[in-house]
Amino acid sequence: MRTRYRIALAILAIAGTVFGWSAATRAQQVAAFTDQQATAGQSAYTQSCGGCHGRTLSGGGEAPALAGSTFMGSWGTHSTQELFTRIRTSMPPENPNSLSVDTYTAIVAFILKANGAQAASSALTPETNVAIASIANGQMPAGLMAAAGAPAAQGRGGRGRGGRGRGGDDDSTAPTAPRMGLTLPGSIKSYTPITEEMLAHPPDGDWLMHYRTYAGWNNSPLTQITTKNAVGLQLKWAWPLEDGMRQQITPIVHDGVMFVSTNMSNTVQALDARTGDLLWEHRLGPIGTAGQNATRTMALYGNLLFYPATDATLYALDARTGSIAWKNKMSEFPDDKIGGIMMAKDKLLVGVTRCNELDARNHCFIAGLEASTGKLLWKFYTVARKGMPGGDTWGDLPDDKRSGADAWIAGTYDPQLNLAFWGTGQAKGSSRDQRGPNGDALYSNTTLALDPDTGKLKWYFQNAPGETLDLDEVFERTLIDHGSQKTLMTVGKSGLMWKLDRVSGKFLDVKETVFQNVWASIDMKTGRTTYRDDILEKKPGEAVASCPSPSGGHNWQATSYDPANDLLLLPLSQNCAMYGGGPQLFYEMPGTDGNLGRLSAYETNTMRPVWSFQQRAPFLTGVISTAGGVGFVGDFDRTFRAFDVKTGKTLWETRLPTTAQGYPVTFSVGGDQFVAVPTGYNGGSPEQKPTTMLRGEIQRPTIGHGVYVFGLPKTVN
Amino acid sequence: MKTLTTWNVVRPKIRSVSDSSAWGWGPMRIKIKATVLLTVLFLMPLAAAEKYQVYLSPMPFTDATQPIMTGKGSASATLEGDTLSISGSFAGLSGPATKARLSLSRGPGIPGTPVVDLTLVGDVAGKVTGQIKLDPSQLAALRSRKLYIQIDSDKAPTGHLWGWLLEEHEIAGQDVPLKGPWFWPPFAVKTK
Repeated sequence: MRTRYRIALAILAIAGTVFGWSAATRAQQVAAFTDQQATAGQSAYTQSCGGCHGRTLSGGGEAPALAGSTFMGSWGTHSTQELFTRIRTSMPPENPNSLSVDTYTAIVAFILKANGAQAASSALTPETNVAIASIANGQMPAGLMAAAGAPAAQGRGGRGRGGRGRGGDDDSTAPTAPRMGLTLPGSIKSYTPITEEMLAHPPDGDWLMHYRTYAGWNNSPLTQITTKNAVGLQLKWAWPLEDGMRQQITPIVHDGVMFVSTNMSNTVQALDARTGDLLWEHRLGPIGTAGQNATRTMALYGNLLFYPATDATLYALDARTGSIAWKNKMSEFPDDKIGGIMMAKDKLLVGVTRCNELDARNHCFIAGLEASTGKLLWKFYTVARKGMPGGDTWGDLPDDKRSGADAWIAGTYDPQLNLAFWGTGQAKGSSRDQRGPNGDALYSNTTLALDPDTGKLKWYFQNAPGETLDLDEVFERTLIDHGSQKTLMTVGKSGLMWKLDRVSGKFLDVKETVFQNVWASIDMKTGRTTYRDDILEKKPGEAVASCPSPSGGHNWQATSYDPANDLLLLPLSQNCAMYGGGPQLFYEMPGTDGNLGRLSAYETNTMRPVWSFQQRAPFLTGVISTAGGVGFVGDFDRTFRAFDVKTGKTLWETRLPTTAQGYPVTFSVGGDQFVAVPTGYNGGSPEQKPTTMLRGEIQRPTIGHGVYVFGLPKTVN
Repeated sequence: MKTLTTWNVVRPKIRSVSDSSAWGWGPMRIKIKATVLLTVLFLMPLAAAEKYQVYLSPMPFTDATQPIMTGKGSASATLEGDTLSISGSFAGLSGPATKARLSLSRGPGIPGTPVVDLTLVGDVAGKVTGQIKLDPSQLAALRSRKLYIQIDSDKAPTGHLWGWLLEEHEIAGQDVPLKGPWFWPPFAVKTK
């Protein structure tokens, strides 16, 4: 007995020794980076990555999480070498492979450390090929989280926010820092205050808000530019906007003044809309890394111009001078951004996005403010928490794990019903296997009808219950009447074109606008969608095919409604991806012969397709239409074109210095009609994903943010 | 359950014969001729060859693998009876083609599994052909757009080009807007 006991002890001892040696060896083998690399990587990450992926690596918008279970689910089975290659070849999105090899290596080291990997004495190299799951567990060290969550250094290249100019703090260590503050005060004399009546019925020559009209039509009553004379359009003036960060702006125009902005430094400028002369400039800041969210919308009311800065501060500037009337910080969470703003009577409605810090009880919301003072009146949280209506649609998921439903696109408004209509984005984590329960996750991917005075929810319709492929249904809600029937139409990333009764929220109809293979069935009585079986059964780390890809059959490039022909004009994108198993793998959409861009027109009363054309380059501007029968749209390949709204035939086109990106507008000054289009890069997934497929084929510079204004020759006028 | 609107599917069309009085024939002759005509028209779809087209494009890739996922091609296929004849070509591969096969998937754009090898001739450019007798389930798969051609290469041995067999359709090109309805492969089933 004693002998047996001794033998057993000996076996245990040997086993323990072997196991201990093995574990130690394993630790030595897998520890693949140094602390110095991780520290350098954290700095580089904050500088080059944090604006999109979040300071806490939680992801945001279209940028995936780089830490935690979401990251491990996607990357755990992949190697450090694959992660390095992926980052080097695709990041930063506007200029891949632009950092040094050492910097990319350091960023990978930081990501590994942020996922619980232990540093050691051996340095990570591009050739290091270790399975990520063998060294990381997705648990971020507490200290690192605190450091990562700390406010980042403001400014590009480590520069401080302050400058030597007016309104900035002196910073003798940053001799190249730009001037900040009201760098050119204005004194516009002839500015007419915007009234509620003007918002409801905009002057013909103005473009007062994001979609021009409350109803979201992106349509102008101007008729000077026609299908006959559009061929004569010529450049009238151009204005460069500060390069860097995202560029997806909507210029807005009132009384011959155009307001533009750039989110690199949160600079707002007033320009003479006829000549392009600068009337005033306010460099609000912050500069740089905090500015990765696109600023798409501004709004006007009274003498105020509202601008959502990239640090979630909402500014009201005097539209005549550029001086600050009031400001309101909409969220204290460092990654939160303002997604879209809109006026509804005297209320300023504000959507908040990027609120993805799990465990932080941080949730996205839509807020109502008193426009004249900035006073917060109400908030509607877009994530249903426990005990709230819809709270059970997240299963048992704790409130601090419920995230997403970002309000990152501005809504529309019906003054008669006194209802504001907003869409929301997908739940986070983006896939069901990351979230745990397979519930509907209200109010993600939902159409919301809100009372702008109180924030009370009148009705909702969830366009994509339990969404799992990052296919947002957040985009513009277009309000169209057919006789006495008041409808709301919207198109989501999966390309489904929805028609709802906007009085009740009742589902009316749905139509596919691009090829899709994610929805296996659609209940035409309720509008409820059901995924393919293999999507529902997807396990963590598995990839499934998604057509369209998460860059969307439709995305932020807004539609236009032409009331003369009852046509909804849709800029569409045609690509697919293998999604959910590490890096997204892109490919051309079946049935498109490699055409990544499509522009289509649908008659909204019948949902009948009327015309369509497609091309290799995707469209990266919204579409606008005019009473002159002319539509305008721009694309990735630097082409801006005028087309016949009735037929889709191209009437005129020109090449711009870089990608046409943002929202075109048309306006008139002194009786002359103009059309303006922004250019830029870093347009989010609709621009970045096709880049994968067009690299080496379509060349374009990654500088050139600006706005270009076209008009007819004087002889035509 | 019924399938999604199939206005975009090219099928042999059967003309209406409902207005027979306009032909000026007696009732009996009308019945006989109409019966013959209907029989012929009924048999036409069975006898007529079904035509399919394939656009071959790169398999899923990342920025890192994009440089090797080059090339494109096209193919046409004809179904006569239960025999499918395939003829296509490709060019621009980054490495020599090594294998071509007909594969089965859940639908367009979704990876599947091989069904049968096709004949491959060429290198970085070449031709692919095949004549395959399809069983009933494969016939159904063809008609529901679940069959695709895959070409492997030595640079991408698990798949370089792929393309689904889709019914013949017109392509809307730039500056030549196609009046609706236009083609894409229907997938979802609409239920009531």
